[in-house]
Amino acid sequence: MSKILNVHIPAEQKNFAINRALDFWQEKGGSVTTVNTSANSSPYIADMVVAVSTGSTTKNYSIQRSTTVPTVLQSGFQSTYSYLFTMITGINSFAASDRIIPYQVRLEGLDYARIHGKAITYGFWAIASVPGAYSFNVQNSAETRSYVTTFNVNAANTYEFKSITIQMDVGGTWVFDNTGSLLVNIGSVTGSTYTAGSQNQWLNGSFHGAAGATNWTATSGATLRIAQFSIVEGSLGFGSTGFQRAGKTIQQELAMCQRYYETGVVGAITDGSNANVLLLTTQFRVSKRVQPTMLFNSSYGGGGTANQLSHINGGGNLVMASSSPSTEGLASGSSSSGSVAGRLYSGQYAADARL
Amino acid sequence: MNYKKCKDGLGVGLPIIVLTTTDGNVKYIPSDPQNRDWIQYQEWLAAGNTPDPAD
Repeated sequence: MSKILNVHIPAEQKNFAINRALDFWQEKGGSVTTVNTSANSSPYIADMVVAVSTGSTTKNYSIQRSTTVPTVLQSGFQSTYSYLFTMITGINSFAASDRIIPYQVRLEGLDYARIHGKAITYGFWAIASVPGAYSFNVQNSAETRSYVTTFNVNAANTYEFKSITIQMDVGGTWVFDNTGSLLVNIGSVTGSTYTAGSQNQWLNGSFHGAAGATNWTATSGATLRIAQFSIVEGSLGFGSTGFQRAGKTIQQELAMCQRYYETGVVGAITDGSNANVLLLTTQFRVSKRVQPTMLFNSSYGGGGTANQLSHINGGGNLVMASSSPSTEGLASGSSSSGSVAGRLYSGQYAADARL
Repeated sequence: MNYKKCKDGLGVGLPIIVLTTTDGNVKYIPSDPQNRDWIQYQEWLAAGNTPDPAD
């Protein structure tokens, strides 16, 4: 006699979250990002991972990559890095509008469209210094619809696998284009404004914290690491030992990241008659989500000077003054006055089309 | 943090904003309404601020 299980099993188990093995840290590399401000802050740390804080209270924390990862015997997948959030100065009491979101995943609408309205399982490994109930929430990027729940950290400083299945929203406004659509937040601690009145259901408004969740950020030096996050269609997910990257290969995973951010080598030739006009010859490796914000540096691989390019024969650097990117690459730009006509320069560009 | 309008090498005004950040980076922000830096710039304008003129 057969038994029909009350589960939804898609034809293919696929991770919809990019760079969740945390292979790529294109902008920050191994550097530590330290936040110590009462101003709003939302830096990207690893590719496709953001830490967010807002509200009037000064928040002092750091984020960096860590080599403390689940063992392959635990998770069935050998990661190189995890994401480490450290609360430098503990906050015992949050003002109403305060919020710290240590780990935020942003999903573009064109990707989110494939899972809208479906049962989705979120999985990840967590290791934290403070045991307790931690908040987990998903919401639309307009922050008008939120679902808040909790997961338990049972023991300090021990990797534990967490799996949370949520029937995705069919109410509210969700976008399915090339703008941000889904936000997933792990470990948030919030003031009353962002604390949900009820859990495990979709609510109107922007809520990240669960009432009664542990304020693990009250402890100075408290840490939270996240590794091998996944968004999988269906009610089973990958399970503790089934993690997969979104890309089938590491090259595909990098290309997925480069839709949002990439760095590369740029060459520039100053015009013969007007040295401030530049021919910039760069085609992006991957078409960008939108026209990207451009940054330049005189050295590829670090150590150079921001907003400059190097003369290839050792002459003076060229100072950039403008750049006109398309989603495909660069063709022109300009330099500051004083440039020398007909010279060839090179350096590094960063194209930022992140959500 | 400082926003400034931008011209190309021929002196033509561009729909690009130059942002110099507190850490010394310089960002060239295109007028793509879905670029997050452009969105932040629009919010900064809406708050009553004015960018520096182009050189």
